[in-house]
Amino acid sequence: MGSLAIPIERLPEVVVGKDARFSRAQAMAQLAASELPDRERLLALVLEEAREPRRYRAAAAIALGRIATPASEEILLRNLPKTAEDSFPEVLLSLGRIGSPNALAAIDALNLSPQHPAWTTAAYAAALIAHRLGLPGHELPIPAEVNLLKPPATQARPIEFTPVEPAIALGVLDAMKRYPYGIAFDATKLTRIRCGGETNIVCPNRDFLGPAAARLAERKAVLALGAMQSPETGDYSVSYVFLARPVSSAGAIAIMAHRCSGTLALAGNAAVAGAQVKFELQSVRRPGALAISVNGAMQDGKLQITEAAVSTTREKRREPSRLIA
Amino acid sequence: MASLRGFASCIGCPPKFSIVRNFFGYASGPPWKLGPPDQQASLPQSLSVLKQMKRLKQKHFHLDVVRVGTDSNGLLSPTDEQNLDCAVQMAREIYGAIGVGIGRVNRWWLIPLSDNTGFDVIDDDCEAVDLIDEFDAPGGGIDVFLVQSWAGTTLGLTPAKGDGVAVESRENDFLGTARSFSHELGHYLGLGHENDTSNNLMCQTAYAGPMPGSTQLNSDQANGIKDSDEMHPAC
Repeated sequence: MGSLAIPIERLPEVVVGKDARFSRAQAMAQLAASELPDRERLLALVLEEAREPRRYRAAAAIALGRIATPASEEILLRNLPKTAEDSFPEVLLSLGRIGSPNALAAIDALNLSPQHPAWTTAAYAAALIAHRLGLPGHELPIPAEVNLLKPPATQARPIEFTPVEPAIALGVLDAMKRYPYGIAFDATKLTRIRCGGETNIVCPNRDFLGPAAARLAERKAVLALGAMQSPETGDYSVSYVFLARPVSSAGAIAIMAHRCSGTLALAGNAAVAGAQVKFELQSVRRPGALAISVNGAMQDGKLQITEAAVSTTREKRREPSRLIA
Repeated sequence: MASLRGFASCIGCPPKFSIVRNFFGYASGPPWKLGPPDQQASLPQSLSVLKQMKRLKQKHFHLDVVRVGTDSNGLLSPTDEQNLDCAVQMAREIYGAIGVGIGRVNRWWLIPLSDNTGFDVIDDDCEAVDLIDEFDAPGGGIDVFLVQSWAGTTLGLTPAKGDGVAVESRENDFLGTARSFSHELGHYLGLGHENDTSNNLMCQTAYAGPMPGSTQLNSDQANGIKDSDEMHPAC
């Protein structure tokens, strides 16, 4: 279903719930993408109003994260302790995406226990910031071999990799500007991946292309973003966040690809040799996952795939609960 | 198969069944108390057992609705619960107009808020795809995931090779919710966009005419839907 174009002059009233003719969550997303000067304050009114339903407070937190200005970060930071108490993981996720040292310190200061409902999101947000800034610590566990999925030889399909046409690449990167991951791209270095019915475009971080790839052996990095094209609108949004970190002094690195929500989807190893990054990635076991295996190398942003396959069947899905009425 | 009991049995209702809860698959019935006021005239005013029985004499499909982010009682807000029933009823009218019925509706599946999945508020399209990939209601119908907010630029989504659809429940816009619900089902049943025709159900919202008029389906679309694998034969 396509996006609703809410008249810009109506956005403030819709966002604060005084004009019910439009979707408030849509209005918040549209407000975040606008240049309206009051946008942070309007979203803060929603996020900080305890009587507002979770659906709107969470949407406000996501929108503030997309604005990614000092003002929006300040609002998220001042709400972090109380929203962590109420389990609003969207505040954590937005701070992780904005990616400042202040946010990392604030997340650390929460000192959430692993039993806390927002702990997983907090760990991902902290790891995201640490990778962006190249900081030590805040490392997410690498999944055990048993939790990686390999497509069976007899029930697998190939994965298709193609370069992205210049006009489309510009459109993808224009859409990526809505997301505050703080990395820059080169429109000539994007690769389209068709896998299991989904099309993603890998957008490598320009800071680690060419000879700069050698730095991956020395520091954590946000290696790339994946962008998916909406089957509904044709617009692009972030689908994967590829994180890389050194795991040995001999140039070995670990790569973990998280979905937009932070869920770990792919993991594997890589080795840096000059400007080339050789890698092996497999999908991580989770309900409904396809088994994916990709081996290849990235040379100055160009992917050279030696082996890539996706299973034709999925891992067992979860059954939703059922209310006996 | 002329009796109500026969039709109910055909769509899998238990031997003892409630007309509203089992035969129609609703938790509530008209008059629904949904807003906004300027949409009131479009609210379904009644349920017709006869009309539903006639529709089951045609090809029909079943729905398994998964309500995402339910409270400790297994429910969404009263408005969202009514919104869902109203959306299904309006979808029945839309598809009924092309000779396709909606048979069994199991709307009691849920993903509670306490499961902490975060799927109640969709951050972006990727999360909607994950929701559809991760959960599978085993009822044999089309899985429809009703989420509470969608912070991206869409109101609903049907992944290309996914096993269900996701739709935002807009608590103050039952007409919009019903159209998104029916539009995404159209995708699932094989239809693409029809942006040249503003009154067509498959016209994207940005190009569509006002509701309730923008829900029509043409004969080619009707034929395509009737050929869909989801169709069950007439009762």
